[in-house]
Amino acid sequence: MNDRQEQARHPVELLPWLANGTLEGDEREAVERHLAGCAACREELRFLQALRAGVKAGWAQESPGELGWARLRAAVRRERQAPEGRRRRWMPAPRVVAMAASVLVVVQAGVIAFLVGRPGGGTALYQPLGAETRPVLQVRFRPEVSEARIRAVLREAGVEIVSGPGALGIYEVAPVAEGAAALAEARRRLEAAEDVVAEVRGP
Amino acid sequence: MAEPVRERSLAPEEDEARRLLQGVAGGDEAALRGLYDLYGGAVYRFALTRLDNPADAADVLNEVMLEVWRGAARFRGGSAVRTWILGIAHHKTMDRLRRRARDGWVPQEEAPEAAEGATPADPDPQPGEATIAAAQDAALVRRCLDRLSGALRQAVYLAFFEDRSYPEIARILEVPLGTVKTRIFHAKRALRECLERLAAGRG
Repeated sequence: MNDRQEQARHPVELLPWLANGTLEGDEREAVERHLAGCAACREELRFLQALRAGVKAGWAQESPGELGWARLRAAVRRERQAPEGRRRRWMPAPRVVAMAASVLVVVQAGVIAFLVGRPGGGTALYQPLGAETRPVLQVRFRPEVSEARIRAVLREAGVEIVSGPGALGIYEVAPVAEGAAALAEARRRLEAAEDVVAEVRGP
Repeated sequence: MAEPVRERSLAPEEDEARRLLQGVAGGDEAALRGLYDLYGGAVYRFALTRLDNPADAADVLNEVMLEVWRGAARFRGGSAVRTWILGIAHHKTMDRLRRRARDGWVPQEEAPEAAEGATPADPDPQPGEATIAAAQDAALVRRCLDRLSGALRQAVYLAFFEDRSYPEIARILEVPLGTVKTRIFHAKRALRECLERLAAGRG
């Protein structure tokens, strides 16, 4: 393509990649040469650069946050504990679960109905993970509440998520500080946050 | 013959990601946490742009990172780690869309190519200042993005939020290079029309 042909053909399909900084080599040089003599394409580029800024700002708040990690960690530890797990590489010996201190049931009417309807319903509602030895509280959050609010309430209560959510949306949380007083205080604060926490159960 | 994929230079991130991936392959949970911190947000948003449902996007994120946990040793270094992980996310997202369609939850999304014509050779008319301002307004851009089809929204996400090159996007979405350019072109045009309406108070 000679210079005149190149200048006549507007590289509109490549401008988005110049706007996001990924256009390279010959394509970049050709587009930049064209832009030097084409006001219409420069304006198009300006719009694309503005749009890129708007897209970044528009999606910046979307985040899976800590709850996503807690869930992933739970799944990974479940796999590690499975005797015939899919991972066939090194696995640490699972630590014994201090279940007795944390046999808790969090229930809403729908949950009860669900459990009663399951084979073996009424046994373990939620299978805790192997690594947690602290006493835990089981918490169900109100479904409409944002993750940011949940995080704020957990921070205020001095607890961290140790597992969950299970299929029923139940999280296990443990106080950051040790001792029965910390556990009781954490529970009191969680229960006080009625607009965020639907229910709390614990020892 | 397939065109070699040029990866954007992300040397520090890529070095860190490969180091973490090695750790994950050795069963190191802390390394998985590192990868989650690096890419969890990208995977979540990528899934969200297509599925339009935070719970489903969180599920996909969990599935993707579990896949990374199980399959870290299979990474052969043929692409950037980010591209590899987003490719897994694409498969998981499409699985979920297929499941939705199969279960009759929502109508299967129209194949985006059916609605995409050729890319016009001329730039659009010069955008007004109000349109440029609207394009940088996060709330307005989100409203317009929400009106796009999932396929177009996802292409915009990869191009303008993730700043991926078009060969990388083609690789992640497993579509021809021309399809990527066409999707971005049509998405850009639809966004511009939407932003012009909103800027003129005709949203």
